[in-house]
Amino acid sequence: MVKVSMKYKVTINIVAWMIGILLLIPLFGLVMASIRPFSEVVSGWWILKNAHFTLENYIDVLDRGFARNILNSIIIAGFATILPLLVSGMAAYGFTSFSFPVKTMLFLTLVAIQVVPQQAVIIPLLKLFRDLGLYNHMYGIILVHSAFALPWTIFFLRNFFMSIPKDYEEAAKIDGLGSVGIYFRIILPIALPAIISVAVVQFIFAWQDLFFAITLLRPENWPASAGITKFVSRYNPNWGQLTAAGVLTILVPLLVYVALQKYYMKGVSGGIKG
Amino acid sequence: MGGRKDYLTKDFFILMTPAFILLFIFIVYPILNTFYLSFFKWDGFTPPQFVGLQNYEKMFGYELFRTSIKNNVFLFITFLPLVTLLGLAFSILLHNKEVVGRNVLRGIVMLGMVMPLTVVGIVWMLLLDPRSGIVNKIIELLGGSPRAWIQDPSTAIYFVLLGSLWAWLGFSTTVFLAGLEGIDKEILEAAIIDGANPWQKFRYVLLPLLKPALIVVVTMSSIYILKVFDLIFVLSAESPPLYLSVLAYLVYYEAFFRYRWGFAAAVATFLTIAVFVFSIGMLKRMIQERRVE
Repeated sequence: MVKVSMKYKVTINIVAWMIGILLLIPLFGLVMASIRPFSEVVSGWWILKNAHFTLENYIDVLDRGFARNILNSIIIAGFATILPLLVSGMAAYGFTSFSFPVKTMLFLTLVAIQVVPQQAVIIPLLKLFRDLGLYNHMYGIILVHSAFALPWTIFFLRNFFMSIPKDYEEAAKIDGLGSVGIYFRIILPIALPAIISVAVVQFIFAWQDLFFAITLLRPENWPASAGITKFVSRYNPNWGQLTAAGVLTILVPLLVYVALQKYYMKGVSGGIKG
Repeated sequence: MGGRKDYLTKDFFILMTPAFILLFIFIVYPILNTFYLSFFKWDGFTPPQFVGLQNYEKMFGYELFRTSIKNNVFLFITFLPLVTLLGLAFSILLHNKEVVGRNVLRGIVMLGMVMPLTVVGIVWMLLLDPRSGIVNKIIELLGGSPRAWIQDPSTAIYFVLLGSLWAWLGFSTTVFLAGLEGIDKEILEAAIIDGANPWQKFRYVLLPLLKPALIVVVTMSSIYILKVFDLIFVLSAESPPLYLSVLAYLVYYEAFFRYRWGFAAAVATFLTIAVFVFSIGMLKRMIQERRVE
């Protein structure tokens, strides 16, 4: 082993934590601006001398109907997590346990589709939504989010399923279970950690969406990520309301992240790497 | 990858069909249809009119398209090296056992990734504000002159760059960290015993072993910055911020402000092709490693 000097140890700790604090300052600013009066924000939210704290901005933002936007986010991101997980888990198991013609081609296409920009589908989708009466309905956007979640979730789950020993399936087959039965009764319970990873990443991802929200829904049905833009002004911003809405918008994904950080990290690094 | 050959069973179709119906209706068909529509003049309401390659010809001569390309290129060449190098440096730092509270720091670096980009935009509007922003205050303290970063079209692009970096640094750091954790410690210790200095150790031992992580970071970051949209949209309260237009924003602007759906489809097709070009490297590697079979 190489011996570490005290000086080295102190230096890298200072550097690491300075970067950490630097990365936290923006978030600190967001919170401070949301709980202090406008005048104190303008003269510097980082000045803590004579600071006054207020929840008025939060009350104003909720009065302007932002609670509805948060609720929309919960509904959209919630269902846009459950539905694709149900569907992609099944398909991932199909890919794992069967071998069929064009399988490799199909799988490759699936992987390639992962990178498609949302703008590549929006024009035909709008026409489709108009024709099918899906425009401005939350289940419409939930279906679109679900479809976009499939490529990476199938890929991620298939990789996990491949690591499950075949013995489990063999035993179940002797008991007379079909593939669907094996998936739901044997594979799914074993795969729970992987399912949670996928769920956390997908929930946070769906919560962040802006483009599908503003194009497929009218403002009254916008989730918080889109609804917050009504508080923005490039030249004359009301910092208090703007930042209060910002804090409210990140509250749910932040809690999910803090509670399930380990799963989130696995989902992010594993989903893309495979 | 093995698997049963008797795929013509009810169970197989129950497992596969829902996913492929969703994928076809909401992704595959729309992509192909966008390509098809790019050869038409269409306002979204009256019947489309076939115009051949006219949309593409118009696109390349269009001022706003050039602005968008210019912004996309600027963001690409600044964002990509920065997010890669900063992520690499930070992951090496966080991998070091001597750093106290590594898990907390890992959590902090990911925070930007958890937030919607519209909120990231608001955070940076606050920091870069001409009157009350901390960035201008720091510049003044250092003897520089404050600027209206976002309101001035010549500097507004830095807002997009900073926001994207802060939001995406967590990704590159996490992928590099996963790569570092997968490296056998004995290899690194052997290099030190062999007398390698820190730079040699990094260049000849660490970097080759991190190549898979590097490919993922470069590919995903390229695609991420090519698709940038939210940080531009968030500035559109008073008027569309056309000086900040990028390809993804141009599609939106042409479709929703000017109702030129055929033209927007041509720009969308161009963007899709660009994104695919940058993902080829990673796809090729996946095929080589037989990870997609």
